[in-house]
Amino acid sequence: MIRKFYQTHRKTFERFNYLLLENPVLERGLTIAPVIVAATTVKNGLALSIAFAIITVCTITATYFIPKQVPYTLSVIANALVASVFFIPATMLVDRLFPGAVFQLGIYLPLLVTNSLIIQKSFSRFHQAPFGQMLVQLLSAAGGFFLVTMAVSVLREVLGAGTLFDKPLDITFTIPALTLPFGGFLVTGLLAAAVQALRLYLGSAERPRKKR
Amino acid sequence: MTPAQITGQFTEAVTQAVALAATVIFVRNIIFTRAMGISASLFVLRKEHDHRLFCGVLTLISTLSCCLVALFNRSLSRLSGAYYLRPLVYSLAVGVVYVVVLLAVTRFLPRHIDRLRPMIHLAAFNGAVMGALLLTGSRNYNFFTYLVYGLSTGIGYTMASYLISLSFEQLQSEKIPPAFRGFPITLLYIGVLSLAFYGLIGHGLST
Repeated sequence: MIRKFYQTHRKTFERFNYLLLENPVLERGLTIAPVIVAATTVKNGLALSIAFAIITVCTITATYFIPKQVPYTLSVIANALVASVFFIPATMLVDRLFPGAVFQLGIYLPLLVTNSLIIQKSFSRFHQAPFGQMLVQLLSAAGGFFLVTMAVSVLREVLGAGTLFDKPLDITFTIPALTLPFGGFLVTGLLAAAVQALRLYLGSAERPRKKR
Repeated sequence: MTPAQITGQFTEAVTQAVALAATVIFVRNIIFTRAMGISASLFVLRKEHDHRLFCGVLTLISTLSCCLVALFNRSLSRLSGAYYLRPLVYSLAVGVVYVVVLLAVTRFLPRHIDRLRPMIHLAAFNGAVMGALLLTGSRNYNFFTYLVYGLSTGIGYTMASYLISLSFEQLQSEKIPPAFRGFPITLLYIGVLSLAFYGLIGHGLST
């Protein structure tokens, strides 16, 4: 039933594909480093998602207006510089909302300025689309990053540290290794497999039911 | 300064450089422990580009960028808002190296420009390059240490990419369940390698 509904409304769903089925993190591993290493608590996950949304959406929207005649090399440098400017208010906001998170995220917050969506996909995907469509795609991508980061953060904080929002939970056994990069690869890999399974299920033709 | 003192200082510098390089390549590997630059490495493998060429270009850009940043990082660190300004200054530094490398290749290796240009575009603002700068940025190392750090980051990236490339074909195999085939199983594979490299930090067994 879900598959039939998806296939009937495929065009509508495809506008928001970056949210889940073509999620930038789970499909190609774009911007995967912060998720794997730094998304170990819900606080970190929220801080990362907010910073990512501000930096990526604002940068790609602003650089949309760079004339197409500007050489690719200069456009890439301009993208990185514009992202670095948006990094300043984004970090200030994150620091105000989640005190201490900026320190905990370390280099993974400034690393967002050179994420693959800004450096590569802005030219090959986002800037190719009409402005309104690009905004929808960008917001979907930011939403997709939020979903993945939160899923990874919650799983790792609950199962790895036995806490949620830094508050201890009544869990007897924890798996501390989940808070290591190894755990990040494992959880993200399993999520990527789940999304790939869903993509294959929704894309495939419905099997005829066996008659009893 | 006596010859013995000069020899002693030289030996100490070399020992420190080797220790730092070994740490950056194995213990703090840019892919296995920092997860940086994975998407670019997988992209090169997927598109069947020259993997060694890409890693070579990335090593060159990472080393040159670290050397350039070493020239002004002490002054940058003295500023009150250094944390906020670092990405801007480092992006500018990488941008300069990016343009210089492109111009140098165009000038001196015109026959190879078509092969090299896409690799330079992909390597310049790679997470591994920016990561190396950010990792060294908060510490006031000397020029030599920056040089070793940049070079070791590139070597570590090359080694990790090579290990991924060894199994890349098998990870796309039909024998793997469709849900895991390709990217998901590659992440799990990198995770297992990451755990193995994590072991280099060393843990004693409880008795």
